[in-house]
Amino acid sequence: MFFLQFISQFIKVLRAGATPGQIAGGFALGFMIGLMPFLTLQGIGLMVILFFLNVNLAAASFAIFFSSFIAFLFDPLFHNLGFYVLTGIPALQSLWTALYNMPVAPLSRFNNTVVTGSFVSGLLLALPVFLLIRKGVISYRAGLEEKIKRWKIVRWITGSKLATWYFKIRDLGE
Amino acid sequence: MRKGALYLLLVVALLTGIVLYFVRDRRIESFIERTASDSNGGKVEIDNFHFSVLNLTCKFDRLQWTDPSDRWRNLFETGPVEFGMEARPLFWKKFIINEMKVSGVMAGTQRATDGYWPKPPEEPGILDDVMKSIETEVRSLPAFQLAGLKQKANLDSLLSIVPLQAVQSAMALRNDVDTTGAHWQDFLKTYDAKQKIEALENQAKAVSLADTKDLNGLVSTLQKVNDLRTNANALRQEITETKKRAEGDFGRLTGVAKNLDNLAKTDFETLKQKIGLSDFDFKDVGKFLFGNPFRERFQGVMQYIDLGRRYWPTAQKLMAVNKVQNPPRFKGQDLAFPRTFAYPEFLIRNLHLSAAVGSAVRRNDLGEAIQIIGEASGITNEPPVYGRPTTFALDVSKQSSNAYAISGVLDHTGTVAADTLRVGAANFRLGKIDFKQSKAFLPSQLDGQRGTVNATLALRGDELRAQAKLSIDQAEFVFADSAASDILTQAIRGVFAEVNDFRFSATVAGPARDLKFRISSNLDELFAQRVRGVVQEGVNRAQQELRQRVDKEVGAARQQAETELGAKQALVMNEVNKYEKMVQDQLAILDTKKQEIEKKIEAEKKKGQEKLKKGLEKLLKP
Repeated sequence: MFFLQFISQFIKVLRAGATPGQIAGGFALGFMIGLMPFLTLQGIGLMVILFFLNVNLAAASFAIFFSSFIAFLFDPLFHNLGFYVLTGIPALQSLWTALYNMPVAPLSRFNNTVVTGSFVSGLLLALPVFLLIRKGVISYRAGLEEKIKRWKIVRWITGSKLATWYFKIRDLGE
Repeated sequence: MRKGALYLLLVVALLTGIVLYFVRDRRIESFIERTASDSNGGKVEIDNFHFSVLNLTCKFDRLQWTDPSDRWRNLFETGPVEFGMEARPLFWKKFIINEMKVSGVMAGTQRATDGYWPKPPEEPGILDDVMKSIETEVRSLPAFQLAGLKQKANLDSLLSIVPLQAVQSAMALRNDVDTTGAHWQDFLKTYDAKQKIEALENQAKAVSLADTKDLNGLVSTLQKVNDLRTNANALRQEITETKKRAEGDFGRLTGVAKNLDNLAKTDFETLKQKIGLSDFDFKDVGKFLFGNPFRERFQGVMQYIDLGRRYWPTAQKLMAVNKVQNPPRFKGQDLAFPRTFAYPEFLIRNLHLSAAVGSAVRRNDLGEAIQIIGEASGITNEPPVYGRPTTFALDVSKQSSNAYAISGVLDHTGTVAADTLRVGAANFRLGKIDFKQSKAFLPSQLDGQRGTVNATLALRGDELRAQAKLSIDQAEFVFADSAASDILTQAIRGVFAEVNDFRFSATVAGPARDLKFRISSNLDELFAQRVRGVVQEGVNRAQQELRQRVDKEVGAARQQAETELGAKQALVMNEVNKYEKMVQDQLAILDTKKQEIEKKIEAEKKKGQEKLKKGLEKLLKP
């Protein structure tokens, strides 16, 4: 139920309301948050930014949920990338040492390979994700929705008993 | 910009704060339990953890630390524990505890629940090397045997099982003598030297000077004699070579006969070893008896040193940047960078401890338990960052016994770990030490009443030096069998029975992989003075008997072989010598004849010259 409601909310967002930029911004931030281990200083910082910026929170929630699954698959990659960033670039060593000795900074857990690897990956992918999602929303609103509705898989899902039952319950109060 | 976000965040933060406030104790408790269990390899449980946010203090009622080798027993458990944390280091994610009070620690308590926890993979530490070295040293101890002294009755059966090399060699010699003797006898039977000499003799006799009148005849006779001499010399040469061959053959056999002495000595040594009649050296009695008990106690101490080495890393270990290939998912690897602040990740500046250990704890008889009260400082997982060594000093006491003190310094602040440990105890009850040996003439246990122990251990890198000195008053050595079966056993037991004050000293020194282990005690002196004489006398007597027996066995075979050898050798050599003499005689006769002929020829020459001279004078006279 929660999952269907979640998808339904996201599709509603895609149709109307927020601008494509707000949706893409929310998604990109949520994507970054979802890639990283949750309890880090930068994770909390990104959550604060997410609340302050006028981006779409439903898209962000969807992105957090979605990228958390991806993060599991790419964990070894993040470890390797993080190890390289923390040890393989001599120019950054003084920065890491300074951060390591600063108050509060260690709470970011930047010296952990997976934390840094996933954070760097999130930073690098944020802009491409933002652009891709924005273009996707614009296309969706321009007519892609009708095409998608005709997809066999979509028709199968919307015609299923579970979906019909869900729509009935949802519309009871309207 | 979302205008209401601040309020939203405040609400979220407030709600999170409220939730965290109410669940903080349980969350911190389970975090500590999980982390400690992971490193221990056995379940670690905390009861009623409480964290005060306002003054940053923590306390809990009990901590149970499961023994990883016995999941139904706690390695130790604590009573109430209280500690306060410094606020500032928390901004660096460092947990610095100024004072920690731990009371009611009990070791070896029974667990009510299963303490299983998956064990982390263990890297070999210094303990493995040290214990392997000690094991090797203990195994190299001499196997004290008195049985040999009582083996006389079994000597016959032993001799039938263990063949004497000397006897076998004498038997082989006899066969060889027979074969060689037969060979020479056969040779001499067919040897024609005698006929040749007789022919020579006849030919020599046939040479007569009386019939020879003129010079030509003399020259012809001389030629004959020279031919005969040549033949005689060739025959002499042939006989000499035959003699040499015979001497070589019999000389070899004589050599074998002489070597029987050496073989008999080897046989004696072999039998001596077989029946345990090696020369006794009682300087190792202490090592033999106390080797195993000392090893066990030493292992107990080394386990704690090893733990310290594992969890108190040196600068070298701490700053090592070796990549972990496959860390668990979402865990990654924490890397260390050079520090410019003096906060280690975790530090207990001062720890106040009170504990109760011993078997009485397991019987819930705390009045009889060993009480430990002490302090430790500088307990940290990053000693090089803290820059000061971990120190501890404990007073250990028992209601019915006096106290002893344990202190130590674990200095892992540099690149090489340096650990020192001191144990001093006065007037404590030793209890029973089980020697774990089965020899009836040696004790199986030591029951000590009151004692003093002083031990030091210094481990720098992998270079170890440990020394323990033990002094026990009213020591009683207990034997597994009540009755002593023979005089020797009685004598040895008598010495142990007379020991009241026992002094013992053990030293272990060297690199971890090649430790040398030395134990000395006043038992050594006592044995040197008292038992050695008795035992050595028995050993000597038994050795003498064995020697006589070996000599008797070997001697008979040897005598037979030597007699036969002498007879055969004499027979052959007499014959050859006879031929040699005969040919020498003939040569002497021929030489005499040759000289006579040469003289006659010379005389004839002079006569001819005189004649010629006279003839010439006549012709030349005018």
